[in-house]
Amino acid sequence: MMAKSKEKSSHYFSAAQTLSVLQKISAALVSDLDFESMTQRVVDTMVKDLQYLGGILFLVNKKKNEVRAYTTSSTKVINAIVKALPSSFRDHYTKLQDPKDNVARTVKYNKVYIGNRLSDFISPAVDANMADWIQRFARVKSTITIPVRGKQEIIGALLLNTERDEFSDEEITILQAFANQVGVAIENARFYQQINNFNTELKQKVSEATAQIQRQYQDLLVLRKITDIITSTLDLQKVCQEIVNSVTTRLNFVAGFISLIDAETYQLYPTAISETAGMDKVRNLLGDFRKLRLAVDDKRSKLSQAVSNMEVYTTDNLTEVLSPPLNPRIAQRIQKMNKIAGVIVLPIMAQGRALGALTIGLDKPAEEIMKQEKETLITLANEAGLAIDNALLFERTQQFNVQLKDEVSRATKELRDANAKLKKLDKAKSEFISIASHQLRTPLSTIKGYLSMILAGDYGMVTDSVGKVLGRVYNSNERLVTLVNNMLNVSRIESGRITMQPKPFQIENTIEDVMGELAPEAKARRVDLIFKKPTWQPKKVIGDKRLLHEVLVNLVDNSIKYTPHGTVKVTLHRHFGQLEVRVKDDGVGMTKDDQSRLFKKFSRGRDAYRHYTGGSGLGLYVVRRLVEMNGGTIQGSSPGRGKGSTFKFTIPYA
Amino acid sequence: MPEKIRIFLVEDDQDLQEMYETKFTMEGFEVVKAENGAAALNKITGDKPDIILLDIVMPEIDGFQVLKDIKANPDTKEIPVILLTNLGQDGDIKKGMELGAVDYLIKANFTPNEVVEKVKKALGNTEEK
Repeated sequence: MMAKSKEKSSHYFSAAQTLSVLQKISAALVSDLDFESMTQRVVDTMVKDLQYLGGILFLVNKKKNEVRAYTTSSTKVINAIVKALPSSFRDHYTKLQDPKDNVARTVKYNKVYIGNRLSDFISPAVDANMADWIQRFARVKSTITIPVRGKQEIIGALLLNTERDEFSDEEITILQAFANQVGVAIENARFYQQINNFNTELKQKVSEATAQIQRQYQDLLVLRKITDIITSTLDLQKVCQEIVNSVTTRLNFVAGFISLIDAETYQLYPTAISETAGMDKVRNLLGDFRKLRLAVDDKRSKLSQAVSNMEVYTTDNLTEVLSPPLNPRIAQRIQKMNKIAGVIVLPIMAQGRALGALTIGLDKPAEEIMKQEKETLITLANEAGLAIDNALLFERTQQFNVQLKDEVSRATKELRDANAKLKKLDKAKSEFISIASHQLRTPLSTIKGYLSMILAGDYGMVTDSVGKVLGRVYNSNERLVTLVNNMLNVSRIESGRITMQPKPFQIENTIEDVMGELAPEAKARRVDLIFKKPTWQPKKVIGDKRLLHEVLVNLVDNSIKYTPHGTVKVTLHRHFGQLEVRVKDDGVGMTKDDQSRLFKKFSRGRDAYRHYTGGSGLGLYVVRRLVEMNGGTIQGSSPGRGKGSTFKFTIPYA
Repeated sequence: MPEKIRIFLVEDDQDLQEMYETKFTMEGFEVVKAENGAAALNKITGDKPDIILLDIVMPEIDGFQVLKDIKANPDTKEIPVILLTNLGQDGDIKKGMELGAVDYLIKANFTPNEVVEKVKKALGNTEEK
């Protein structure tokens, strides 16, 4: 029931009053006050300065589609209303769906409502009789509700009570203007509040995020430090110990231990336990913990499961991790001793296969592990995997090295032993030859000496027939002497014991020496021994003079022996950049057979009958070796039996 | 009558000793014999020889040691020594020459006559000194 306003206003605001209120309200609206204080000031100003009995500001809750009293003036009538309400005035609301009072109607229909009955406005929230009573008590004559408009919708209502009979049009217009201002301001204030809230929320989120990043950074630093330490050593035990120590001292967990897989038995065994007071007690309790073994495929333990499935496992019961192999009661004791509330087992892996596990005891249940803590631990387990893998590889390499060293040692020893044996053998051989030749030569010298003296007549006259026979005996003996000398020389040449000392010299001098030495024998055998010097001046040759002397003696002596009556001629020639010495005789010559066997070891041919005139005696084999060692070549040829022989050998020029 | 040349023969083989003694006596030398190194060193201080024929392989003290002692003794070091032996390895010859022998003869390679020639040659060299 809307009361019509009278044309003539019964109340009017002076221009000054209006301006003043406007100013105060403006001031309140733009002040720094919080929302509540601001609306309170607005309502108080309007009621007081415009002389109303009371005022209530109602605000719409859009979500719940209801309107509630928000701010009240603390005047008599309002206080009474408030007191009359069963609970705090803000608890009361009126539904907009089916408006039961004028406040709701004002909001819903966007209309000003004026009335004389207070109960039209505040009931059923307030008991109607009570409303009437309050009206009488406070002398409320008229009540008005004005919609408070925001930019796009009604956001509330303003209720004012007056003792006057009615509200003038002017008054209503002005009140409407005020109400609109308030509406805008409230909307602004709400918007501002939203922004503030949003800002606060944002700040909090940023602060939380920053805190989290800081924590992550701290964790990363710690991880970095741990990684530095565990990768600074290749000693497996040190790596494991460092990891478990870091878990307690740097990451602040309660305790930790590492178990690794023993490849041969496919069992897990603990390698390192963190060094805290609590764990020291555990160490004492368990004794040599490294002896404990847990099969990797044992399904009863979360520790072995973590390893075989390569997954992280958590539990709050340490027994599930330690038993087997420990007695469950001992596991419980350990848990109590260290005040462990939760356990996490992380597999340690490298190159896709499991190496073992890192088990960590926590001071809180496993489910309270923060995501970040878990990530840190997983990273640690990965680093551990790398470091342990490296350490294992290093261990294996070292073992391999040791094995290698052993083998090399053994091989070297074997070689040294073999060498020593060889040396011994060589020494034994040379000793044998020395002794053998000495032992053989002694009787040979006796025979040779006496026979020569007998044949020379030193022991009296010898008949021709006896002499002849003794001569044969003598020759036979000489063969033995030659044989012994030959054997010695072959042995010397074979074992490299003949040392050559090549020097430049004139070969003609050596040849002349040899001629001189063999002259008596040649004379005795009626052989002409001739050295025909060349017309050109031979250049110096290089070689071991002593040995080449022997070579010449051998060849010339041979020729003399094999030339019953005739000539032995020595000549010099130039041959392919070397000097050639030729010894030619017109003696018994050689068959093709003889020629083919000439310079071989122990040949019986030409030098079967050698007589020594100094030096050690050489066979043609040794002669050949000496010529060749000197850098030359040797040849022997004959047209045939009875047609003489020619031996030639070369010597390099100096 | 020119004084006989005294030759000191150190040889442990009885047959060879007698053989060389006979030959050298026939050639007009005065022969002093010794059968081993110790005897040799003893006798040498008595009447000094003009030349020594020294075997190497002997019991107890070998010829090299005797040669060393002869050369170490100022009374005897000037006496020419010919090593007369059946040991003939390069090392032995080298050692003998280095110890101061004037010649090294392998018994099996030389008749007693040839040994006499060698002795005379060595004495000739000594005289020329």
